[in-house]
Amino acid sequence: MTKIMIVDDETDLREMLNLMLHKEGFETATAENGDDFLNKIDEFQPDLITLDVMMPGLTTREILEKLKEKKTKPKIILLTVVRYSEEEKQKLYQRGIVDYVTKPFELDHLIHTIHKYVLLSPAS
Amino acid sequence: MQNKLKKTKMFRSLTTTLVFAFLALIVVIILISSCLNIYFRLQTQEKVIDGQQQLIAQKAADAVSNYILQKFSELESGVRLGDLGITSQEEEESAMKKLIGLESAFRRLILLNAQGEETVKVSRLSSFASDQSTETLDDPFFLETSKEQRYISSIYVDNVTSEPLVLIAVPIKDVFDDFKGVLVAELNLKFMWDLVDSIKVGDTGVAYVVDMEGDLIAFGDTSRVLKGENLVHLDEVYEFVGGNESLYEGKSEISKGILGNDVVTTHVCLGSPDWAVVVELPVEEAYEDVNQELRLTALVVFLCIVLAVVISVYLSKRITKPIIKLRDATNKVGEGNLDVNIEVSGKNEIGQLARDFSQMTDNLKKSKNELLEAQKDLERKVEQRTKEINEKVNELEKSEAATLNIMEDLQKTVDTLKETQTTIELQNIQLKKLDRIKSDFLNITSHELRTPMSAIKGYIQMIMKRTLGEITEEQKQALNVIVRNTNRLDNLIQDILDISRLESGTMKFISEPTNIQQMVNEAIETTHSLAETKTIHLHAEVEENLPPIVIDKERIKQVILNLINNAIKFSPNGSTIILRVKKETNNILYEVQDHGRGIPKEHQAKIFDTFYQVDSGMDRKFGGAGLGLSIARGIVLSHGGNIWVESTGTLGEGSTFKFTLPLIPVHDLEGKFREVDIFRLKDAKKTIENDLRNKTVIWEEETKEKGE
Repeated sequence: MTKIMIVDDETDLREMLNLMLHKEGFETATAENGDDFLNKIDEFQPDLITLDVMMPGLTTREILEKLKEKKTKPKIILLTVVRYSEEEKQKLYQRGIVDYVTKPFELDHLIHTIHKYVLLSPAS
Repeated sequence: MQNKLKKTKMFRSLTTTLVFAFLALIVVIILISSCLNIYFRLQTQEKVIDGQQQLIAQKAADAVSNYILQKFSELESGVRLGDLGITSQEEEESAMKKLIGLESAFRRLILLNAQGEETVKVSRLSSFASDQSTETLDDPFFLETSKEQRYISSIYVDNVTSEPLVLIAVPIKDVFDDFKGVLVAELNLKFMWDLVDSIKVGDTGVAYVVDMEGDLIAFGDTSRVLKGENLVHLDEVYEFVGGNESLYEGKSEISKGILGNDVVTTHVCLGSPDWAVVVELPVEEAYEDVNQELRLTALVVFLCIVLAVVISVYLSKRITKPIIKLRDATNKVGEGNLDVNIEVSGKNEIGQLARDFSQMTDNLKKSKNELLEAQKDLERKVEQRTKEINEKVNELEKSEAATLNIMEDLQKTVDTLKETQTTIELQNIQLKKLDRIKSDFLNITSHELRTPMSAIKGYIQMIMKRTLGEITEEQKQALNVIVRNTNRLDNLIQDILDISRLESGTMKFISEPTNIQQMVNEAIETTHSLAETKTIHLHAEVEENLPPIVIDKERIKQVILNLINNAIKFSPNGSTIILRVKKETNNILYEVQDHGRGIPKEHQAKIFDTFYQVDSGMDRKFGGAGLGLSIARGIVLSHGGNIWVESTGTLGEGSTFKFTLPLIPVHDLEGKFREVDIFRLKDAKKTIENDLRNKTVIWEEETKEKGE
């Protein structure tokens, strides 16, 4: 079963996504900030994570930097509030981010995006 | 240096060449003529010597031959006078004694009778002296021969005196020509020696007689004759003995002589007896004249050559001297010395050349003088000009001092300007810091406002999709209201954030080449369902083959959507909305035409202001915060375009919203929008900047004027 980890500091949003993805049939886990995520990742070994771009504690850049040292290499979908230019998108792809979804998002759009990368994953 | 050496080596004086040429010519001529002369002289000399020798030899031979013949005649006379062979023995003996007394050369006389018997014998010598003649007399051949003719024997030598002796015999015949006997005489050849010795051959030449065996018979040096020397080893004698007359006859030869020296020699045969006279002339003497001539010729040749050298040198000098003079003159002219006088006279080509050269030099001198004149003139002019220039420079220096004063003033102004600029730059930095704070603030606010909205919308969607269980119809109606209001709230948040970003200049634009047709299609599609709710017909007229232009596609689409949404909102049911896009000279023009109630003239300029709808107290029934047009204006202006509305204000004629976007993109789209700067600080900055720019321009113009 495909494992998805939801990394978000907003409890309500995190739990909503957790419930929704669980209902969609994924095995899910949550983390409330960067440190929490890095602690849990090797244990849960997710295939994909949704990563909130703005969280207290570690910045997104720091999280991505430390993720390099971990054995597990999940696909990352970034949850953001801004749009990115082509140049910026290329930089994101270089750092291991496969796609991004702008808040507030339509649930169907998010699920569609996740399915796009999970289907390509060898784990599924 | 090396080059020079080479040149010197290569150079060969004309004089030397001429001298060598003359010399070679003269020497060759002299040598050829001398050689020919000597050759012919030698030939002649050879012939002369040959002739002389032949003559001498012949003379000698004749002398020897005559001597022998005389002896025969004497013998025959003796026979006739003494009636030998006829008379008695006593008479015969007396006659023979008389004969021997008369002729000292006869050593012995013997009378033989017809039978060859000795009858009478008289001798000058004592009786005991040996008689070698008998050997010959006993020879039968002797008798046979002497019966008919004169006989001469071969030479033999007396054993005691070593004198060469020969027997001669004559036959004795009576009146009937009957053979009566033979008178034999032993002839002493010693007497012939004096004869041979007397033969003169030049000054130092000699003559001698040899017999058929090559034995020496007569010679000046009697001791050699007495020794009975054989001379066959001498070439000339060998020729005679060998009988190779045909090869050498009549020719003087150079060979070894009897005295062992080189001689010119020849021989003549006597015939009878079989002897030959050989004459020898030493080569030195024979060719003495020639040698002398040779020496004289050599001397003359040498003198001629010496004379030739002198003449050659003199002639060559005479020819080349004017040429050398000309060359020296040319060199001097080449070095720039035109005062050259060439002393070359003569009416030949060189003289003509010298005169031409002089003429040329004179012309050159004239030209040079003219040039010098021109140069002096030029120098005078230059001097004058320099003076004028100096005067002008002085004037300029004076004016420069004045300029310097102005420059100082200007410098002060510049300093002041620089101070102002520093102040402005400091303010700029502060402004940028402020911009940064604003940007961060808006980003955080955006995140904080949207995150809860995401949670709310997420749960509503889950409920609506029955993911969390079945819902009643009433619950569904309530949820629809919630969804509608949530969307309104979401849009409002979106608009407020947009306007805030536009006003603070932190709006982020993402420019990319955009296909306009595609963008318009997407906008029509998005608004299609809304239009259908009022049965409004949406019609798009996009000019074909529009070039892709660089814009923020999402933002421009937002503007178009806003205008269409507004049009739908204010249009009556069933009306038509037309979206037109066409190319102008520098712009793309977008038009959205509706058939709504129109906009009164007094409102047309104000409707783009923020919250205008709210302030104006317009009919609230259409909803909206009045931010849409304000955002649209911000986006369009940020793209370097313009936006406005055209409407008569008459009900039913509707209104047309128009905006332009430049064909050449504004690359730095970010922060372009400054019109509604909420802090007004940027306007202040701009004013200062303009002021500064104007001042700089004025200063530059002033400096330019003074520089000229």
